[in-house]
Amino acid sequence: MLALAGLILGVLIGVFMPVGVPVWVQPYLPIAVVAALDASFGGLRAVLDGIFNDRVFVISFVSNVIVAALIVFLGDQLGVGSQLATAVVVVLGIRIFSNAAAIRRHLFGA
Amino acid sequence: MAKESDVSAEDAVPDPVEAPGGDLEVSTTDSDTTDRDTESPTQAEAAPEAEAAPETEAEPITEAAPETEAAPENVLGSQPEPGSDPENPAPAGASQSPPPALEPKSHPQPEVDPEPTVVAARLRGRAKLRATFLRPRLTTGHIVGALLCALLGFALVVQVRETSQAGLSTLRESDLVRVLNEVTQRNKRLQEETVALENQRAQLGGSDPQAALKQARRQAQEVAILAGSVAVQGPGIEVSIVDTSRQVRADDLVDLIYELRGAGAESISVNAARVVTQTSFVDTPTAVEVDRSPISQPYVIRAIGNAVSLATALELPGGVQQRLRDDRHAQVSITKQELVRIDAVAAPGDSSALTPSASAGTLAP
Repeated sequence: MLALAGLILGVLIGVFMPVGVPVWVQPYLPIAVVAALDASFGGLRAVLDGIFNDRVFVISFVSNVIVAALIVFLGDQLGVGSQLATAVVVVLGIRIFSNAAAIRRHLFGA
Repeated sequence: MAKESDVSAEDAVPDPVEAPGGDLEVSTTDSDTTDRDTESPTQAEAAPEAEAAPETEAEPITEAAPETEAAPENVLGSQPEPGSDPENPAPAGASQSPPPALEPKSHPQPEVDPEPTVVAARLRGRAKLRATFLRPRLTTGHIVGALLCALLGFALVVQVRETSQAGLSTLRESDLVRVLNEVTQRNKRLQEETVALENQRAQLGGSDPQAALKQARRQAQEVAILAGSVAVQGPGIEVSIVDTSRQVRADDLVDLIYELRGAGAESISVNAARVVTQTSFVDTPTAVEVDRSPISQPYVIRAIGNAVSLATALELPGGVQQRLRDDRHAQVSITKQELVRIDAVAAPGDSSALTPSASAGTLAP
């Protein structure tokens, strides 16, 4: 509930505040957003599994975002930034899908 | 023994179902509270009601739901450690035969298991979600989680907006390098063109009017050759067709002309007619008309260009020459010549409807 309210609040702030992305964040923000999405889906799944723990959620959220951004940063330094970004997106995408499947099983029993 | 087990089965089945039905609810909420919430037991107290009430309201099948929900969980819980549950040993002791009591208990389970557990899982999931939504908890962890979600929503929107304003600023380094390279090369080409055009302008409008005149003449000559308005000469071939049986038609001549053009002929004449873009070939009962005047035999076609390739194009197996010979029974002779003169000129076309458009560019020099 609180999380959903937070999400809506964030979206509203984003919509109504004309904020640009700082240049140094630009390569990492998309990946970080995907990582955060992955963490959120994981959190929702944990709620349904009954094993949700706010501490775990916060830590996994932050660490996911940081690790994802770090991988892309490292990739940029090594000259394989776009490839590594693709790899991160693929891995996170798979995880989001599996989490979404678990959530779906909980909510619809199928 | 069989009777006993029957009785015990009857005894054992309803008991654990009824008794731990409440036990299960409590235990799950207990684990919930220990997991998620240590601060508000009153809220947790309210939880089972909130979970149980909507279940029964939501769907009529839910009569079975609590039972089946209870049964598998209870069996799982009681089998490995029967002593741990305070209520379980009592029914087991009443039936006086715990081992057979356990067996029938596990027996009916597979029959009821697959579908109702799915339903139960679904109901439990929905109830859990509903409960989570209805009971916002104000622990630090949850607030931080909500803040992180706010951050996610914010970043999501900002990123989407950033992407929709797609410009150079969103491109990666390698893409930028590629774009830069393209721009640089284009710039170089345009600079070269500028230099060439400036040279031309200097020649045309500058100190040397002769150069301008020379260039204009050259252009006029090229246009004249293309239009067929001047006599030309050069290496080429001469094709002579003797059509004794009068079977050669305009189509055959057009085929021949196009074959020559395809082989790179720069200028073509048929008898006394220069072949240009407006030249017509028409069949009449007596003869073939070229540009509305009948041509007499032998048909002499002159073409200027690379003599070898022109001749080869006509002499191809199944080509124009062979068709004229086999299908039309005409005699065709092709001679390569060092110097072919084409004196025939095309009449200037009627261009009263034409004026050069304002944007017409000059011909390339």
